[in-house]
Amino acid sequence: MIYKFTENTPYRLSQQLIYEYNNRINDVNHFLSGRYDFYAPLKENIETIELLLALSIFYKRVLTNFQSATKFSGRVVFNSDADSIQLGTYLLDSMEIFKINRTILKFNNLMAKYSIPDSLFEYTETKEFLRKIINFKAELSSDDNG
Amino acid sequence: MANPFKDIKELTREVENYLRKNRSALYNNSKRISDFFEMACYNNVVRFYENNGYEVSIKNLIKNKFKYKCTTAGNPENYSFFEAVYKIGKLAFHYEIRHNINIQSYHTDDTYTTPDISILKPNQVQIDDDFYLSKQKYYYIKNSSLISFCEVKNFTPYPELLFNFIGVTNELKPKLLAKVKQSGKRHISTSLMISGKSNRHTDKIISNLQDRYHINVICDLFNIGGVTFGKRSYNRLKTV
Repeated sequence: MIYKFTENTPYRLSQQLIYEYNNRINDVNHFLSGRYDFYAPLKENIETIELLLALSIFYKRVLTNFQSATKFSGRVVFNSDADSIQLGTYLLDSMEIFKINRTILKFNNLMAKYSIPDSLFEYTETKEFLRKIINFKAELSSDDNG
Repeated sequence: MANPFKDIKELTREVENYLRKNRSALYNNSKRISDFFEMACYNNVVRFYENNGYEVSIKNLIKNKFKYKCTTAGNPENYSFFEAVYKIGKLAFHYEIRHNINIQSYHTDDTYTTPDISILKPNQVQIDDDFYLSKQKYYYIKNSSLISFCEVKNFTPYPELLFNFIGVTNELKPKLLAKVKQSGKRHISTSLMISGKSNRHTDKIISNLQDRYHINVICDLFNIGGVTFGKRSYNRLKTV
């Protein structure tokens, strides 16, 4: 699943994304192997879990960094006489900031469409992520039933 | 409302569409991810000074561009930086918040290291002509002109990363490696700023280091950075 995301990232970053995804998917398989009753209800949703895991890694390792850039560039470009930030040969100007913001906004809109909260992506250990998915699934089910 | 557990095929298709339509923005900006995180931390330090009563302004724009110092090489005078000014009556105290500046060791005059962000006394750039075997000049700041510094790491915290920071602190600001009975309030103390979230073990290490030394270790900056340096909580940071 992660390969959908790494097609659009430079080699070094894509290796980091793949490495984290593979490690965590091993954890997921371990918890869903049948040894733990608590995680058993997730077995039928492995495809969704794989996609949410890939989305979370992409969000944490790529998009949050983009958000960081817009905070600094917003201060410099929109609150001073500077028209851009020069990083070596790269120029971060208002058009580039707009493009970055648009990329983040479109992602957020897509997540909102599927009711996927940012908090689902905030985890350290894989089992924490799986617990959040269990709660998320339960919330969606109760909304459907209510 | 779409449900990712029921409409997984549709969600997968929409994610693929998103990635395809934003391909160039994702690829081009992904190459600068580490720079982006450093910029956010630089921004946070500037926010600390603003919230702490300083007037902060950008200095040394070059052709209306904020020239960001991406590497340790180069003359600092060719790069932009922030100036922080604290006023008491008619007195004004000026400081520079700079990025990637070489700083002289506290212990020896001819060795240096380069923290990511430095808070410095103004106009203190020195030149060492003997640093390189060639005629190239080496630009640095004397240790006595260093007020404080911050290291930025775009990683998940791990023990070696945390202990390495103590080594850098020992080289540049060894007096902070002890409990300080009284400290200044005007500058952020030497800090380690990390993007990732700590786990139980690294939490213990951070707590231990912050208890023993007069330093800040701030983790999970992607999520809590804005809060840590915000108006309501910046004063929880250790200061010098």
